[in-house]
Amino acid sequence: MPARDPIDDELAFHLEELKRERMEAGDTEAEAIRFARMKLGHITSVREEILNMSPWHRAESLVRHVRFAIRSFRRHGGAYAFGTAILAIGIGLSVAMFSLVEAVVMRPLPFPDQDNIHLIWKTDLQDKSNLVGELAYPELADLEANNAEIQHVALFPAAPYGNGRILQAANQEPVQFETCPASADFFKVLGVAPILGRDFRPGDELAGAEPVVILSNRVWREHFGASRDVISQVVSLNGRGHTVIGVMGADTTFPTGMGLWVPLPKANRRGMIWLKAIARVRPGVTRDALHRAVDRTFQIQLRDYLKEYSVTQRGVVTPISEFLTGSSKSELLISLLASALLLLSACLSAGNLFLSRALLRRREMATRFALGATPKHLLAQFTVESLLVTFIATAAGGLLAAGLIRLLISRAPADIPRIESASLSPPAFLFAAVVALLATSVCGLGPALLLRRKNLDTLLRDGGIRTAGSRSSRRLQHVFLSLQAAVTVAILVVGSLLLLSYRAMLQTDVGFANRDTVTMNLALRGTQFSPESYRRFYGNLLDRLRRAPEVTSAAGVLLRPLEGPIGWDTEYTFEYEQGERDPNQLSKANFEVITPQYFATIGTRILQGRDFDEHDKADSTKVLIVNQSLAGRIRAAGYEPLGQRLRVFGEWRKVAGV
Amino acid sequence: MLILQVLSRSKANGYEIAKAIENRSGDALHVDHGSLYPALRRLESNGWIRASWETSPTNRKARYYALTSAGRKQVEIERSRWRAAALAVTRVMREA
Repeated sequence: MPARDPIDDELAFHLEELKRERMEAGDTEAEAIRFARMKLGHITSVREEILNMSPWHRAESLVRHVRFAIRSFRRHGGAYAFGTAILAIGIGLSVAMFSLVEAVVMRPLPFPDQDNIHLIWKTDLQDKSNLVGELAYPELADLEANNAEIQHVALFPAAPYGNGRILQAANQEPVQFETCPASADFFKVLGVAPILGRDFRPGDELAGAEPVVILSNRVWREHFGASRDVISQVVSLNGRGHTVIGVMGADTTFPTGMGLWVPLPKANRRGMIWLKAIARVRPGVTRDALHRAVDRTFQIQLRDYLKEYSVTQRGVVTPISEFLTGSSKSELLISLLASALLLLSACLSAGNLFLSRALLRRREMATRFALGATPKHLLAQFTVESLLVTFIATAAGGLLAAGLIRLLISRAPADIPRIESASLSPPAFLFAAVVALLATSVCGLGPALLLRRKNLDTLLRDGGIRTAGSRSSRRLQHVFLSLQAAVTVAILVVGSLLLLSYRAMLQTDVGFANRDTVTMNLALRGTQFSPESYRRFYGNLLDRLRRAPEVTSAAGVLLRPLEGPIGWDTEYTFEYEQGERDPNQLSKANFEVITPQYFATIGTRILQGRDFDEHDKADSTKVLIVNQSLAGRIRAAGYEPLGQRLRVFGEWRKVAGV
Repeated sequence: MLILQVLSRSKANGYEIAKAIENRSGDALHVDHGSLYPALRRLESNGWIRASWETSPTNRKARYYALTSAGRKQVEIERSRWRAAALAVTRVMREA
């Protein structure tokens, strides 16, 4: 026999006392018992009411609800599993996308007052290609002298790659690092200071100064064991001793991927354009104000050095965040929009599924109602079911998102900056979970609320599987269906737009084979090389590469294709147009220095004439190859491209190929 | 409030509390004996009263309730609240 419940004991005592009271007043025992029972009420329900109050009971009923939810999931299995999976996918995709966008676009850069940092270079109105024009070293002084708007300004290479330095510390293997030559105020512009040692100082850039280098945090950790004694240590860079003067913080990675920073050597030639300026404006100066100031500077340049500059040159000012995010911003935002729509549609379709399930279950509800369940009980049951679905979907979605982020980072094009810093974003996760919860609750609780309005009788009659549902619930389903259709159409439109632009991108003939071609970057630098030994080294290297069985062709090139909106431009004149043109408005063309077989290697066809070959040496006739658009211009002028002579770099060269 | 007031005199069991309220109000207030116990449980979980099993004057085991110190404070609060409310109602009724 189970131990007697204290509540029963207490109530029994009360009953006894009431009975005694009445019997003392003269009632019969039966009358007294009846009175006592009426006075105290139904003992079981009093007992239940007391039990319902205890927190333990609440936990237990939660467990009961969850158990029941799982049972009913099993019974209506397919639909619930499907709905949950849809929700999970929606949450996973949108959270992953949002995390990426957050990392790339929204997270602030590690530079204080980043809105005050801008990049400056030039464009030439004559040049329709919209290629950017680089700056030369002396223009640093121009920018500094003529602009009250600028607080600090520095120069660094427009093409940040290809300036690698071979670092050899103590007895370690030599390693090549991307290196950024920068003028003295570079870190002042960024607003960061070395965590160890000192910044560059004016004077470091002079030819006679002691060579110095600032290490990135990564190089310091990986190659110097994060030792604080590194300052003042002399390391070898390209065979030349440099003194380590500073170490930057871990978040200073500008330009992206730099391992070392060295002073930008001072140069006087205004024609040596290969640099870009980065400036920090005084607080309150807008991008437009800076733009006007920069244009003013470039006008002064025209006045002072008419021969050096094109009259149509203008400044280009880009905020650093835009510069770093690049063109990927709009693509990311479109993808974000698409994934948000996807989440919405996932919620709608899952919601719709749950709704139809819930409507089917009205008879079950009605039966439970009839057996004495209160509306509160039924609502609680639905709430628990919704919560359970949301919980499972969110957990699965989270796992999916984490996996997707890793996949997307590894598959992402290399030119999306900071993408590797992306991680599961808690606010996005929370947002998606809340949306999912809302969707499931509305669909779960909606029918339960509908139930309350009806009386048991009608419920029992029409709540079966046979009927399609009442008018109000059908209306609800209609709303869901049409919303879902609308969102689906929107997703399809966005998706097909993306697909179309991607196809267009793939089908554009960029003029070379963009598959099966690999590039590597190498530099022979130092004092022990002569022009002759350079030639021998590259000759041997290419010969050996071409002999390797896996290689169909190999060639050397000064700057890799698609390395960025960069390249070296030169002015040119055709022989036939000599004297007709203003020497200050000469056309410019991008040029590239290549070895024979370069075009074969990258898969560009030669339309006319020939490739360079071994006979085109330093002492033979100087030749060049022009591109199709330039050849078109020659033909338009009434000449045949092959054999025409162009004046570039102050000497005549014959067109050998198109 | 009424339960706490009764218990502020002395400890009592459920039956005695119900009787005390009915007697003291001159039978104007009818206590639902059934809902007394849930109320007692609530007061207990608030920490205002404490319960123990003792023997009743009728020589049976009964659960006796007594005020805790927090309960005594609560009685004061409820009393002054009631006085303020009653005073306000009285004033309104007088003006009417």
